This record gives sequence, structure tokens and C-alpha cells, in this order.
Amino acid sequence: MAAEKSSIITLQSNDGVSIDVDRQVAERSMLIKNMMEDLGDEAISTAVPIPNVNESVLKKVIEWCEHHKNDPQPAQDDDSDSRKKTTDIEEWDQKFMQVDQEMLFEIILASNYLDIKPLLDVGCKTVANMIKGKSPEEIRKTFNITNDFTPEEEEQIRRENEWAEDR
Amino acid sequence: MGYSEAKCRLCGISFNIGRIRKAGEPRSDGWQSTGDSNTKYDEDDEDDEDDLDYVYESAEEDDYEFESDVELLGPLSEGDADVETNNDEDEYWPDHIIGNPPWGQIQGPVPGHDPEELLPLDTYKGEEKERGLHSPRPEFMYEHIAGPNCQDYQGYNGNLISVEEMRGCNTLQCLMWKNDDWQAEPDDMEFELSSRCFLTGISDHMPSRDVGGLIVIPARHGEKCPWADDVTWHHTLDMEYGMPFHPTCFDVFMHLSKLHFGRVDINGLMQWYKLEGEYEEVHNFPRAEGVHESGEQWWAHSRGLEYFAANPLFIPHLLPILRSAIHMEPSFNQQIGAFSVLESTLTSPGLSTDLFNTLPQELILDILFYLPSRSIANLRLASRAFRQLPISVFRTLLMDEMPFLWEVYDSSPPFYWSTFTASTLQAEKAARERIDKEVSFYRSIIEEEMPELHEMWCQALHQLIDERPDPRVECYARALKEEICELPRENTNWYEVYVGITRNWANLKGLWNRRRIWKDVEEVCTRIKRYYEEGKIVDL
Repeated sequence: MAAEKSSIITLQSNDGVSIDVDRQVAERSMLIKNMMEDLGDEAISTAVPIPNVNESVLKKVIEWCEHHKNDPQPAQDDDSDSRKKTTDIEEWDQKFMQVDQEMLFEIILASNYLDIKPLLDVGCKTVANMIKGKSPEEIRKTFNITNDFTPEEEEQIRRENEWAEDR
Repeated sequence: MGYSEAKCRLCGISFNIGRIRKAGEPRSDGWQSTGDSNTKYDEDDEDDEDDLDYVYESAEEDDYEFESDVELLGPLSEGDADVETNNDEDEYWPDHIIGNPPWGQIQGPVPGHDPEELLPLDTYKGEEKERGLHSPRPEFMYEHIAGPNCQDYQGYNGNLISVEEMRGCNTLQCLMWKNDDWQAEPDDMEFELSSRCFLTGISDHMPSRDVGGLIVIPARHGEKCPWADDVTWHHTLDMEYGMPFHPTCFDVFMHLSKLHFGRVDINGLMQWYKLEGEYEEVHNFPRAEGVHESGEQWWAHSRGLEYFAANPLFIPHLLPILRSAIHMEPSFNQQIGAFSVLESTLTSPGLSTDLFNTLPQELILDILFYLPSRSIANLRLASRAFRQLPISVFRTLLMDEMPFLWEVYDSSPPFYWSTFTASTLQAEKAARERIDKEVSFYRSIIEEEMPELHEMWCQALHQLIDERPDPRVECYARALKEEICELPRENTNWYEVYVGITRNWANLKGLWNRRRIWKDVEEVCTRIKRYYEEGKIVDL
């Protein structure tokens, strides 16, 4: 059985590139893991298409899965986790996420599609840390956003933001 | 040792809080409470604002043994009103006032005092005169009524906090170790039955340590006069001390203990009390600004800190906010937008470089999960992708930023003993004693004059007495029905809750106090947890 677990599977990116991956690494993706369980040997003998992810992003995601292949599976979230949440990111992941913003957003989308919750969390935390403590103008600058709000809209949003005022 | 007060071990606030009523309020809305005496106005006057019948219950109010840097000059207003003075009364003025006058009374009016802040005390009871506490010319005695700018360290200013908000501020209860012959009683709580300690009855008056004699009602498990102190002065008697707290603070502990330990851990709490019982440890426990400073000896009722006396559970202005956020209409759900925004304004008018537009709503929410309110508000001003937010986002924010607002996530009923005061129980006890007295009087007459009716009369009487409502049951039922608002997860507009609280923050002193107590009790729980890890606290 152990030999089966360490077998190689082939993933095919949406730009047609096939990438061989250790099954244990690929199964960090709950999508792939479930597919393997459903299809069995059939999935091992044919390339698994990943239609939403291109080669460069898929390779990046596989790199993360390789590093974290022995991590325990994450527990399901519930309300109580809300009290303990943190935006701390371990050092290796911080370096891993030092990519251009388009790649960062692609990783988030890919990890969501492939159902890799820990990677999705790291991606979202990275973006959140880029936002925290910044003024609206600084956020726009960081993410290269053009301000397309009319003055009336801006005023309206300020009024709606009343909940966030200091107490 | 002189005057000194044991305070709430959980929140650090005195059990001897006074209030100076404002103009237009009934007599019963003003009171002084110190550990050596209580000054109250006749409760019977509550519905009669014009009745100036004055009841003074204080002992030697002017026998202060301690002059702190706190200004004990009570009744002098900071108001600038010029008052015309009558030279005939000069001899009755400042000497008495600049000393320590009985609380709430001055011989006046005096220069600088706004006449609207004084009410003449035109009726005196004979015994008060005999004590020699008052001027021989009672017609010149006045009660100090709090003006908007008054600073009087002997009571919180009635203009700044209402009686309703202060409900139960002087009520205390203790936790005590069980002795060997402890027996369960019908009203024991589950956590008392399963632990080594128990709750005493309650009291509305904590005597000074040098006076002693705390009396609680009811005498649960036979304990009528617990030895309550926040400091355990004599270690050989550690197991005899009772840990005093406001029942409302204990309610906060119950919430936090369940979050930290999965149960109401009173064994852990009592062991912590014992471990950190030295004066220095009690005095150095981290508290909100003003707590330690207010409690040097007599409680200094500093202006701006009225919220220390606000009931943290039953918060008058909070309930309408919570209630109005509940929506039972079928179309309501957690994914509807919090803001009134036209659908057409949710996308950029032109070509957008905003990467957030590439993310589906679920990923937008995943990012928001890690952001505080201020960042989300700024993000809304930066990117159109965050223009509209589902109301469910605000539930997460409330849980993160106001964990003390347990109405959001915890449907536990309030702590039973926090729903009434000792005076409620005392009034019922007195009423029952009156009934017993009358009954025994009539019983002897009926027995003698109409023996054939005696048995029937006794039965009818027992039925009547049994049917008499129990104020404890009534208060608790009322709290459950009218004063506690459980927010249904799927039917609450969490944005309305959040914005309602922010908008009305100035009027939510009870919630300020709950936040303060929550922080203190969180620290207590953190320490208990650490002591468990270090083996200094053990499962009993």
C-alpha cells in the first residue's frame, strides 16, 4: 500500500503542459485527493486536467505542496477559531509568497480551485497583511488601483463606515 | 487598622458606591454607601417626588480617620453661579462645610453654589437632631443636588449615570470552600455540586474591614456571615476566606471560563484567589486606569469614571439596539448586503486594474476574515470590490472585536444571582415576617374563638402563603424574558448591531464596564491556565 501512495501522477495545466507529481504531494489538494479515491488506478494511468491553472502557477502550487507534504490535514473551522485567528505566517511561506501581485492572486485562485485550504489561508493572510494599517490612498498605491469613486460615492462610503469608528 | 474596603476580586471595584441625584429625581435615587455606614433616602418616597421626608442612617460621618489626596469636600459645586447670600446666615456657613459635612447635606446656600443644586430639607426626624449632627436651625439645611458640572467624590453624579444603569452595583456574593459536612441544597448550581466550593447568599453592603459583620441573604448552606476579603491576610486561615465579587462579574467569569476551560471552573478560580492573595498581588493586578486610584480608602467617585458602577449585564440602552437588529421576515438572510448600494455601482465604470475584481465573493470574504474593522473601512474607500459586504462579515467582526458581546455567540442564560439584589430578598423576608406575625396573632384568636374553623383556616392560609410569588423566581423569569436578548444567528442584521453600538457608544456605560471586566477576568483565566500548566493549580 505504501508503494501505491508514493506513485507518480501527471497533472495537466490549462496551457497543455504535463507535470509529474508524487501522489502524496498532489493529495495536499483535496480536489485531487477525492478524485484519486473516486477514480483509483484509472487516474494514475492518465493525465489529470487542471483546467483553471496555468503551468507557472501550477508549478508554484506544487512547490508549496512539496514543502508541506508531511503537514497534518487542517481541522474544520468553527466559531471558536475566530478568537484565535492570526495573520502570522511562517518564514518559509513568507518567502514563498514574495511574488508579483498577479501571481499572488493566481495562487489564491488556484488554491481555492484545488481546495488546498492551508495555502489559501497563507495567500489571504499575505494580502491582508499588505492592507493592514494602510490608509485608502496607500492601499490603492500598493495594489495599483485607480480611484474611480465619485465624490458623492466616497462621501456615502464614509457614512457607511460609521461602524468602524473608534470607541 | 482604620477604614478599609474589600473590593470585588474579579473587577477591583468597591461594593460601596454612592449616587447624588439630579434635580427632578425622587429621593430614593440618591444614596451614599460606605463600609462604615449607609445613607439612604426613604425607599417609600420613590413615587413621590415632592415628599422631602428625609431619612439619615449614617453614623459618625464626620469622623474620617483618613484624609487622602482625594478631595473629600463633597458638596461644593464647581459651578460658577453667583448666589446672593443672606448675611443673617453667615454664622452657619463655611466652617461646617469645609470640614466633612454629612453627605448630601449642606448648610446653605453658600457663595458659589448654584441654588438649583440645593433642595431644602424641611423635615427632620427627632432622633437625627438628638444625635447632634445637624444645625440647630434645620430650616437652613439643604441636600446637595448634582448639577451637570459637580465633582463630589462621595457619589457619582446623577447627571452622568442613571439609577437604572447602576442597578446592583453594591451587590456582592462570595465563593467559599465547602467544609466536611457540606450538604447539597435544592438551589445549588450544577458547578457547585461538582466542585469543592459553593456560592454564598448576597448582600448590598460590604462593611469596612475594621467594622466587619458582612451579612448575606439567604444563609446558603448555613453561611450567614462569610469572612469576605479580596486579600487573604492570614495564610493559616486561607480556607476560611470567602472570595467577594459582584454577581454580575461572576457572570462574566462564567462566560470566559467556558471559553477557556469548557466549564465553570470555580475550583480553579478559588485556587487562583488563594495563590494571589497577598496585598501586593491584589493591588498590582492589572486594571483599567482609575480603578486602583479610586480605591485607596473610601471609594473616590471620580468624574468620568461613572461607568465603573454600570451594570455590565443588564444594559438599558443595549437592548433596543439588539432587538431592532432581529429580522424575522422570510426574505432576510445572511448574504444580503449590509449597505444600500445600486447594483450598477458595484463594478468599475471603465477598465479596471484592480486585481480584487478578479476574485470571487467567497475569496473576498476570506481576505476580510483576517482584517479588523478599520482596515475593512479603508479598503472600502480604496477598491470597488469591497463596496458591498454581506452582513455575515459583521458577525465575524463583532466576535473578534467585541468578544464581550456574548449575545452574538452564546445563548447561556444570565447567572441566577445576578438578576436580583439583596434588598429585594430582604424586603420579601420582612414581608414574610410581618405575615407570620399577623398569622400567629389571628391563629390564637381563631383557635380560641372559632375552634371549629381553625383547621380549615390553617389550610387556606398555607395555600395563600405557598402561592405567594417568590421574588427571586420572578426576577429571574423577567430577566430571561425582557432583559436578555439572544441574537438568532440567521435572523440578525449584524451590521445593524455593530453600527448601533458604535453610534450609541456614549450611552452604553454598562458595555464599557463589561469590556473592562472582560479584560480583567480574561487575565484571571490566563493565570489560572498557566498555574494548571505549572502544577500550582490542580484538578480537585
